[in-house]
Amino acid sequence: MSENPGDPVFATTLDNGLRVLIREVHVAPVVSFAVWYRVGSRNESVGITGISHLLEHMMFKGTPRFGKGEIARTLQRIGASFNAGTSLDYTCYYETLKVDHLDLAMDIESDRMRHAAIPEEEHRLEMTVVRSELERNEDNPHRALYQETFATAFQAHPYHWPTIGWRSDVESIRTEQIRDYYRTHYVPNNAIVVVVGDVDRKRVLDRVRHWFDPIPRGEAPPPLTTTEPPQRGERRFRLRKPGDTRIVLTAWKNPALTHPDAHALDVLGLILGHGRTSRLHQRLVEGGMATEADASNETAIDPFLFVALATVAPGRTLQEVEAAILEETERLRREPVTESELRRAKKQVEAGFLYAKDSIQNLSQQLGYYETASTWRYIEEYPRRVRAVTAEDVQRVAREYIVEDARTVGWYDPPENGDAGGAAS
Amino acid sequence: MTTNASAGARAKAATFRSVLSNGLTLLVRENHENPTISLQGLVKAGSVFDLEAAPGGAKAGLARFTASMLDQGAGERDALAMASAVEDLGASLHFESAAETASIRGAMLSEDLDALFAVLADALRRPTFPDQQVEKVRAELLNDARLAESTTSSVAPRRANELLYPAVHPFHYHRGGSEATLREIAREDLVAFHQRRYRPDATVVALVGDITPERALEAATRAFGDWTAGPDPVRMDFPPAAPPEGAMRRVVAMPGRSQADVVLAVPGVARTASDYDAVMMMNYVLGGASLSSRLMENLRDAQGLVYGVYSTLQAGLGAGPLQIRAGTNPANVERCVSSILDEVRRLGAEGPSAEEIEAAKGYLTGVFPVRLEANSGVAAQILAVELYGLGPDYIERYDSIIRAVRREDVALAARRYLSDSRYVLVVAGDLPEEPSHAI
Repeated sequence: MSENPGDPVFATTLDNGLRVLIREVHVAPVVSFAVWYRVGSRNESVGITGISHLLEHMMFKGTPRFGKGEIARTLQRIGASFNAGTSLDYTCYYETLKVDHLDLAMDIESDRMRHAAIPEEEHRLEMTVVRSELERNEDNPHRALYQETFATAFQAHPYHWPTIGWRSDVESIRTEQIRDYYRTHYVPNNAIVVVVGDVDRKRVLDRVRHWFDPIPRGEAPPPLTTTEPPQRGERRFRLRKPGDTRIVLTAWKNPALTHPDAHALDVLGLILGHGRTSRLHQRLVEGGMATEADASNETAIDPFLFVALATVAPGRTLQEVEAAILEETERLRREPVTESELRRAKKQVEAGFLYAKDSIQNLSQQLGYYETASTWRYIEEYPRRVRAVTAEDVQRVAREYIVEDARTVGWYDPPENGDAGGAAS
Repeated sequence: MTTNASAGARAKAATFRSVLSNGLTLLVRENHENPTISLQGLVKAGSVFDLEAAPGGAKAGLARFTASMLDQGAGERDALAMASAVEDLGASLHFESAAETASIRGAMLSEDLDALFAVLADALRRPTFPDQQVEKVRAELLNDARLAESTTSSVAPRRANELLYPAVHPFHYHRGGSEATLREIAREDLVAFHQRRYRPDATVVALVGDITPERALEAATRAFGDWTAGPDPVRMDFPPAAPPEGAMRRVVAMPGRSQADVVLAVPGVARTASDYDAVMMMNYVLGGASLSSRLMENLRDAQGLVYGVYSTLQAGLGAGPLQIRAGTNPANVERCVSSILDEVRRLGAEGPSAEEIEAAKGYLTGVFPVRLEANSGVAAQILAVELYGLGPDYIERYDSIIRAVRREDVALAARRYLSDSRYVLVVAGDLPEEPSHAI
C-alpha cells in the first residue's frame, strides 16, 4: 500500500485486490475513469487466439442491469468520450466525462466487471463486425506486414499471433469459452482502476469503494509460463499480397519494458527513426529512396521488438532500402551517436511527457499502461532514466541487441500486374 | 463528488483577441497548469483555391502541395535546419491543407515560443521551394494519391463527391489531387499560389496554455508585424450545388479487396448557415452518434451487416456534402444500401423522436467540455469560433444554443436535406464495375 502525501498519484489496493490510482487535475470540470485488466493476447493459447479482443467486443452487449446496447446509449447520452482497447498485454475500458457523471461510469464498470451477459445470439451477430475488422487488417499493408513479422520472430511466446487472433480460431471460438475466459480474467485482483481529473482523492476513493468493494476477490488467473527461446540466426519472409505499396520491415528482439537497457534503446529508436531529423528520414526519405521511414523500440511486458521500417519510393528497390537501413543500424554499432542527437532525443522525451500531462485522458492512459506493465512511478522515473543515458550506452545496446542473429526482415512485395506471385525466390 | 474547479473554470477564462495592423488575428487562452503551449492556426488558403490556378481541376492538389512545402526550406534555413529548429526543442509544427484552409498545428514548451514563432514566420512568409524538395514532396504526394486510389474507403467518398458536385465546383475535386494533376504542378505554380494566398489578413494564430496575452502579442508582433498583405484579398464564393435530379449509382471495381465501402451522399450545409445546428443534430440522430445512431443500431447492432457505419457533415464556410459511409463484406452491399435508404426515408418522413432530441442535446452539451479538456481542444475551438464568426462568448453560450433547437427544427432539416430519391451512391470493392448511371 503506497500512500505518500507528496505523491502526485494516490495509489492503494482494496481488500479484494483491486488496484486504485487517483490523480487530481483541476483544470476543467472533467474526469477520466478507466479500468485496466491484466489480460491481452499474451494470455491466450492456440485455439482461442483473439479471444481477449472478442471478449472486449462482448463487454458492450449488456449486463442484467444494462440491457443490450444500453451501456453505449447511456454513455453517449451524457456526451462521454468512451472506448475500449485490447493489446498484447492488457484490455482497457475508459470513459472521459463531465465530473458530475463520474458515478455512472463507475456503476457501468463495476457492473460489467462480473456481470457481463455475453449472450450467444449477440456473439453470433458480433462476428460480422469482427470479421470485417479481420478483413480490414488483411487489407492494410502495414498491419499485414507486422502480423507476419510477429509470427516469424516469435515461435513459442504468444506474441506470435496478432491481437485480433487467427481467423480460424476467431471463427470457431464458442460463446461458453468467452464466458470462461471472462470469469477467469475479469476479477478485481487482476484489474486497475485509474481516475484522473477534477476530483478530491478522498471522496473519490469512497465512491470507488462503494462500487467495487462488494465484488469478491477471484482466483488468481494463471500466469504465462512460456518464454521465447533465444533466436539463433536471421529470419526472412516475403509477403505477396495485392497492392501498390512496397515496405521493408526490420525487427530485432529487445529486452522487456522494465529492463534497464530499455531506455537506451528508446533513445536509439528516436535518433534512428523519429522525426525529420532522424538518420533514417535523412538517409532514405530526403535521399529519395523511401517515402516514409521510422524506427522505434516497441516495448511490452515480455521482450518484444525494436522495429525499423520504410516504404519504398517508386522506381527504387526493396533491396537497396533494406541495405540502407542495415547500414544505418551498423553505423550505430560502430560509432557513438553525436552529442546533439542525444540532446535532442532527451528533450523530445522530456517534452513528450509534459505534453501528455496536458490531457487527463492521455495522463490516465500513461498511468494505466505503466501500472499494468510495472508501476505508475515509471512516469516519474522514465525521464530521469533517459536523462542519464550516454552515447556509450546507446552504442553498447546497439551492439548487444541490434545484431544479425536476432533479426527478422520482412518485405511487403505485391506481385506485379499479371504476376501471380510465383516468382518469389 | 465535489467539483473543485468551478464549473467551466477553463471555459470562463476569456479568449484574448487582437488583430495586428496587417490584419493577422491572434487568439490567446491562458492555462498555467503545465509549462506547455498548444498552437493552432489557419490561413485561408485551402484547396478551394486550386481552381483559381487552372479551371477544370487541372492543378487539383496545388494548395496541399504548397502547404506541404512550407517546412521544406524557408528564409535562411533549408529543410533539415527547419526540422532541427523544431525537433531540437522537443516541439512540433505541422502544416496541412484542408478544403478551405491551410492549417497549422504545433506544441512547444512555453520557454520556446519565440524560437518556434521564428520558424513559423519563415514558413508562412518566406518559403523557398527548393527544386529538390519540390520533387521529393511531389513523390510523397503521388504516393499518397496512389495509396488513396487503392483503398476502398478513400475511393468511394472521392467518387461520390465527383458525382455530387459539378466540375466548376471546388468540392468536386479532392484536395490531394490525382497522379495526373500532381505531375502538372510546376514550381512556379507553388510560388504563385503562395504569393497570392498566404497573407496576414487571411491568417489566424491561436495559443493556449502557459502564456499571457502580453507575451503572446509581443512575440507575434516580432514575428509577423512587418508582414504586408498583397493586393488580392480573400473571397470565398461557392457556386450553388443542387441535389442531383434523381438517384445516381456507380460501382468502382477493386479486385482483391476483402472489404467493400459504400457511400451515399447529398449536398449538406455551411457551418455559417442559420439552420446548421438543426442539420447537425439531424446528422447526429441518423449516423453521427458513433455507437447509438439509427444507422449503427440498424445495420450493425440489429443486422450485424457492417463493422462501422456513420454519417458525416462537412460544414465549413461552404456547404460540403453529407455523406453516409459504411464498410461491409462485398456480399452484403445491396442489403446495406437498402437499409441505409430505409433509415434516410424514415428520418426524412417522420423526423426524430423527442427522446432522440433529448439524447442529442445531452450528448452535445456533455461532450463539449470533454473536448475542451486539453489545450489543443480549446485552441481548435477558439479557432473555429473565429473562422465562422460564432461570437466571442460562443463557448459560454454553447449550452443555451443547443438547448434552443426544437424537434420541429430538426424534422424540417431532415425533410429538406435527406432524400431517398435524389442522392448519389458509390460502392468500391471486389464487385463488377458499373459506370455511373441513374437508378
